[in-house]
Amino acid sequence: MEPIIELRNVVKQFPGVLANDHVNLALYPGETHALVGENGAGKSTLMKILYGQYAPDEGEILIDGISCRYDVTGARQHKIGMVYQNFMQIPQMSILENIILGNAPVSKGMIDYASAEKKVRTYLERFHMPVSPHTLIRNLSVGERQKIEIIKVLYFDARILILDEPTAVLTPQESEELFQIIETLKEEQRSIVFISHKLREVIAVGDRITVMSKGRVVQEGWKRGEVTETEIARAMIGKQNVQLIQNQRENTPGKTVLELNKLWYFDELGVPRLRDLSLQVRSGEILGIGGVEGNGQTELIRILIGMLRPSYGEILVEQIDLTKASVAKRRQAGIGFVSDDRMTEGLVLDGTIEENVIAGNECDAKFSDGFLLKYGRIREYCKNLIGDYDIKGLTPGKHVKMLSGGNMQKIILAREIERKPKVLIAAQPTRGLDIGAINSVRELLLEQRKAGTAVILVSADLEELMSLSDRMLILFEGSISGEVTDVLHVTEEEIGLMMGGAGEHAEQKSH
Amino acid sequence: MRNRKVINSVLAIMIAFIMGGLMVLLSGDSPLETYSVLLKGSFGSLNALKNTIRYSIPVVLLAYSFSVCNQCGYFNISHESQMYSASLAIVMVSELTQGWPSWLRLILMMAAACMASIAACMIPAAAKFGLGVSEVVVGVMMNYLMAYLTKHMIAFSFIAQPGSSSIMSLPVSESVGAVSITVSTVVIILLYQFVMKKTIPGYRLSVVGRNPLFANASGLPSMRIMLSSAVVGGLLTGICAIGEMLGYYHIIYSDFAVDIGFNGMTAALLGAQNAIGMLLGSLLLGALKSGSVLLTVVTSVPAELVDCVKGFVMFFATVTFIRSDVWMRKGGK
Repeated sequence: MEPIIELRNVVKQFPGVLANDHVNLALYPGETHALVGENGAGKSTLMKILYGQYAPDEGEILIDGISCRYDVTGARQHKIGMVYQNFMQIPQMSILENIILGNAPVSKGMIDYASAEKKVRTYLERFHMPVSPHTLIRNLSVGERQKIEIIKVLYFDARILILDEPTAVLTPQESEELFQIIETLKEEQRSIVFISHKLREVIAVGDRITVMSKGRVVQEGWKRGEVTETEIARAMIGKQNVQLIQNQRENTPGKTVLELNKLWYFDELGVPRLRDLSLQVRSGEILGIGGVEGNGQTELIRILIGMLRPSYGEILVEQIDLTKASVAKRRQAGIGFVSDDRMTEGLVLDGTIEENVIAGNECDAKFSDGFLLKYGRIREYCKNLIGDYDIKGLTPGKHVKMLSGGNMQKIILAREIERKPKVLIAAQPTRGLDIGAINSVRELLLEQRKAGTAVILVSADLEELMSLSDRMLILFEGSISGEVTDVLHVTEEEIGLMMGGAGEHAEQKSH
Repeated sequence: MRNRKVINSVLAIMIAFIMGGLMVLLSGDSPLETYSVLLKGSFGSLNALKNTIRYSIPVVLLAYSFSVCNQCGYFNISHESQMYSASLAIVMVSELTQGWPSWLRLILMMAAACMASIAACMIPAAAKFGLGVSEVVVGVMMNYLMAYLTKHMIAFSFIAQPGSSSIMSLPVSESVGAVSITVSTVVIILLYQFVMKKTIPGYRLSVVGRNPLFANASGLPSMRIMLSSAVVGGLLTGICAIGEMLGYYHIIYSDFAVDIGFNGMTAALLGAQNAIGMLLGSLLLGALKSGSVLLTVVTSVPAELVDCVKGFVMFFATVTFIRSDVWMRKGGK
């Protein structure tokens, strides 16, 4: 069979990063091609090239055997459709209006809503969505919004659908439903590129599996059933023998430092995001918090650092009530925070290391006399940090946005750790980093544990949680669905069940 | 990055002058002659230079006022209303303190001017940061509101000058000399630079301005900082009004502050909100204004040409000629 589309030797270079390094990829009609890789492996760049958002620096794209160059409009003419992870929808407009956006049927100079509605209705029925095409997008659930996104590309009869991490925001049932939709699309000879880093899904959905790592395809077109999760994982990380650092769990935790009592949080729509959440973290302990993303982790973190107020409940640090304290007060009380969004919350990208390191500590006697900043001292201090934390790539006056993710993260960790926090909240601290940087971050967290800090590690990476945590809590729909005290002897399956909230969810997913 | 901004501003000015020249050509005069007269009128003699500086001073103060607010995301477009408020405050205090010692009256007038200007500057800022209302809409409305209120006050209230042919306020007898205004402006600019570069408030302001999310997460008092930037903005406008009223006009005329606020904004945008850039931008606008005087005397070109050129400068200063993303993409290919 001839491939419907083929990428040959595609190269894409960004300043400082070789995002795609001579990548080959072929897609056949009626297949699901799973594309796997860590964050930063180059999957998204490759898909943006396929969808015409980026032009490749080198290489060519063959559609039905003919070499093409196109932009997004051209991609749609070639019937290539993209379903983004962050839905490209206008919440204030209706399903119908969103679907025909940029592709409206016109008759006599007017939008032909009647024919569009008819077509949209058939799709809604086909996807078992009992809603009117005039429903506003903002009234739909996440799973429904994703179906609308798929209908949007089917509306222009896409024969190639790119699904970018489609299950990241879905519940297990919704994911299952998505997989069934994918099956029906295949029957219509449509081809699907399924991007994910969840290995189980990839195995379940992909007819063929391609693994990317550091901008290259390290394994092309493994067939379904010929490959195991472990093999994929090994290919993703690369075959090098770099061992990730593990928690040796050599000392026992001390007294309780942070305590949350019966925390509730309702969002502006009145939906409970945290339900009756209580937990304790002790000094010298790493408490791992896991769960499918969107089950209350973000809210928990924001409430802990003081950017959200809980609706009910209290937050105690060493028996002092901080429930109503501001971000600044909590920082003074010893809460340190490594944001999962290092590019916005974690750093001023258009600032020097000096400006980044003193933020929130600028009134400290080390850095100022209360009004004048002691820039000489600050520079000296940063020079030491650069040495101590092995921060590479900085020259005086250079803005931190020029640094790699790992070095950015080291600056954040340096700032937070040097404040000698009692509680350190690390949210997705290794996301998007390479292995060397991951190990540096892990080492720093373990050092903090050793120094007696109470560390809260919120991560979507199960391997990371299991390697570093002394104890784990799994969040499901805003409350704790399971606690793991013996991290060494728990299986991923058991944790998976907890992540699904209850046994039945997980069972549904695995059949 | 910086180079690109410089090129952008220079391009804006050049295009504006070319457009102005075309207009002169269309009305049958010589652009070259017009521009040489303009140059002579603004830099050709000691007097011309003095005039240029005189007209640049209010512009530079307003440019700084605009810039400090803009750094925190507050588009301070209500300079006009601030100028009117401050001027009204000056004349009112002057009338209410007749017979008091001169030094005390001066201090009171200045304090009242600054407070009134700050209040006027805070209204759109509070609407924006407190209620999420567009400060541009509120600010522009404030401009109209204060312009009409001023007209009313100088026509019908205790500060109105009775028996004059056109409406104007009673004169203020106190005066501030040109030298002290110039020196104060220089001191204010230097002080501003010092505070921005070397102190905690300056650091906080620049961090909040560049990344409010980061500032929040780091526990900086963002709201307080943003409101303080509006206070500083209002203060600078107040000082500008003091200079204009006590140094030059002494009387509030109807519409005397019209378009003065937009000059500050133009200079700030033209100077890419950089210290030296804003000075140069203000100097350009000041020179245009002082040059226009000689223009009407020597040539048949109307002084309004200068307003046209200014308009073009303002228009093109907001256009980004060199887009960074296009630049990047070309580099990538």
